[in-house]
Amino acid sequence: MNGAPVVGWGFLLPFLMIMGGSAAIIVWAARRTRTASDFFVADARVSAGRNALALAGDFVGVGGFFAITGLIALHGVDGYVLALGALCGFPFMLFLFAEPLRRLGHYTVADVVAPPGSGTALRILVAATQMTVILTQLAAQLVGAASLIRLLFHLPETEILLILGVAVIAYVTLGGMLATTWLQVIKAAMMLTLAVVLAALALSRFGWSPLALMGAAVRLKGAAVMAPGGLFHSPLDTGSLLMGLAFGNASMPHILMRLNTTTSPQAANRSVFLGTGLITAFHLVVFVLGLAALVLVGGRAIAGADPGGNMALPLLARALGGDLLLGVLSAVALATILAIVAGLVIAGSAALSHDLWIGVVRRGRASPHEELLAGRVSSVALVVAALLLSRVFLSVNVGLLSALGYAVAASAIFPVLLLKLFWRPLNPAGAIAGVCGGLVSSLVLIWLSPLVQVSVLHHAYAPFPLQSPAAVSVLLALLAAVSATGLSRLRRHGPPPAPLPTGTPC
Amino acid sequence: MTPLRPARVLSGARARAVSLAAAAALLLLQFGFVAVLFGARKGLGVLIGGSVSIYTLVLLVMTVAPWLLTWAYTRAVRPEPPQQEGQQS
Repeated sequence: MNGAPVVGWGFLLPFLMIMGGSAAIIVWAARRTRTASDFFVADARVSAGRNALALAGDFVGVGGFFAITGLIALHGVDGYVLALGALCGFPFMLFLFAEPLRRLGHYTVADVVAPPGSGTALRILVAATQMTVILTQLAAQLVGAASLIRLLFHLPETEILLILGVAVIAYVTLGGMLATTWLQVIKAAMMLTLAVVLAALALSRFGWSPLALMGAAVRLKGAAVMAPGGLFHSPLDTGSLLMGLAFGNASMPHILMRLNTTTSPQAANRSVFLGTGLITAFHLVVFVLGLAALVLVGGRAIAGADPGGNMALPLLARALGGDLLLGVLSAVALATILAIVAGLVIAGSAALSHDLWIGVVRRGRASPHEELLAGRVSSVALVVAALLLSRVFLSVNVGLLSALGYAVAASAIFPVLLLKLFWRPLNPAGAIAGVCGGLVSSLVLIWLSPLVQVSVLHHAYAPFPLQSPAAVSVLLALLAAVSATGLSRLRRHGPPPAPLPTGTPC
Repeated sequence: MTPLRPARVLSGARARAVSLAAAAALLLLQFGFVAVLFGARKGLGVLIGGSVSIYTLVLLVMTVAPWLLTWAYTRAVRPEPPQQEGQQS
């Protein structure tokens, strides 16, 4: 069982089926993608149920599925804490953003935070922030995908990235959001089904009893496997990490954009509620899979295949269902990477073409044909930029890239969006200060954190002690937005009138 | 069986207050979890029945609690009916 599994014949049939199905979806969706609204938000005709599956698909990537299973298998149930942080992102999105964004928004976050009339500076800044988040997430997905495919198929990274890039360009430019949504729906359904099948096969080895599985884990590794202390050592760091994951997930541009694909604000709310149920159920299954990998595969074999634990799930699949199940899992993993990258590219192309080209350069005076063309061209440009970035970042820790995206989204998008929707006095000056404050503080604090100073630069000491800056940078962004709003109002209206002297009759 | 009471349609300031309260409750839940995680570290590792630790139960509760909160929220608040095309609230 030692060593990374090499995917064999079992992969070919499911992979060809997925690729054939994807090609059929592209052809079908291309005929229906005629306007910018079709291209960016599937003409707002996606039902709540389908959007819930697509949201769950966007949320549960290969990172979540493979990494959390591996973390539990290597570090015990403490590895599951990361899943809890991300899981809270959807409820935050439901409570704060889902309905108002769908009611106000057109395509992107910039449509809400920087509507026409609020100045080009704010629109450029919000679009640039979205692009920063999307490019870091794209690079993280592509680098992670390349490593995973290298481990699974033993193929060189450059060729893998090029094939993936061409597939994404075909998907996005021809099929737009409609094709991306359907791919995400099918992929999410396959992933959820596969997770349930794997968990059922694992539990069947323990008399269908999760308690027996936990008992086996305790007998193998001792009671420490069920106790805290495996991964997290500082309360402030853990709190900041959970907050960053939750706020970051709730304000990821490609996930927020999905709200605008629904038929109504009610459907947006319902889809986030259903999506939360799906990802909750999925994480309960992943909990079982992590413990099953620990017992049936063993920590040593998992760490031997990949020290990060990413091979825990493929090794478990091979242990439970041989080459066939490993092949199906690998094909689903490829479909997952393709779907998530396509979703990110659509959101990025909306920021680039709709927010910057149409909104700033053309000042909203573009024909529908030009808007659609700009979307398609910017998708190609974005994929090329992401491929180049991923080549540069191949040697950089995927966790760092991912953390960067989450930190920027949580610090620069979440606070300003929250204030825009719930605090009426916020003005463009306040919004600019909020976005700048969140963006700069999150980037600087990540640079000073142990994630860069210790893990990447190999220094002995990091000036900023937290792995995730959210606890500080979100507060700084809120403070900057509120202060700048107050100051600009003072400048416009002059100082407030002096209070009436005591005793003066009102 | 008594049928479930239909959700009330809250709008305007009351709906916004409920939304903010729900978000604050979720944030408190997260920080409460961190407080328990570091405040009762030894107690969390205690095994019940030889295999399940208190920590495992806390993790499972923390998985399901956000979804229960969304369920309660969707029961309490329903979005207002759609306005005319192009009209913004």
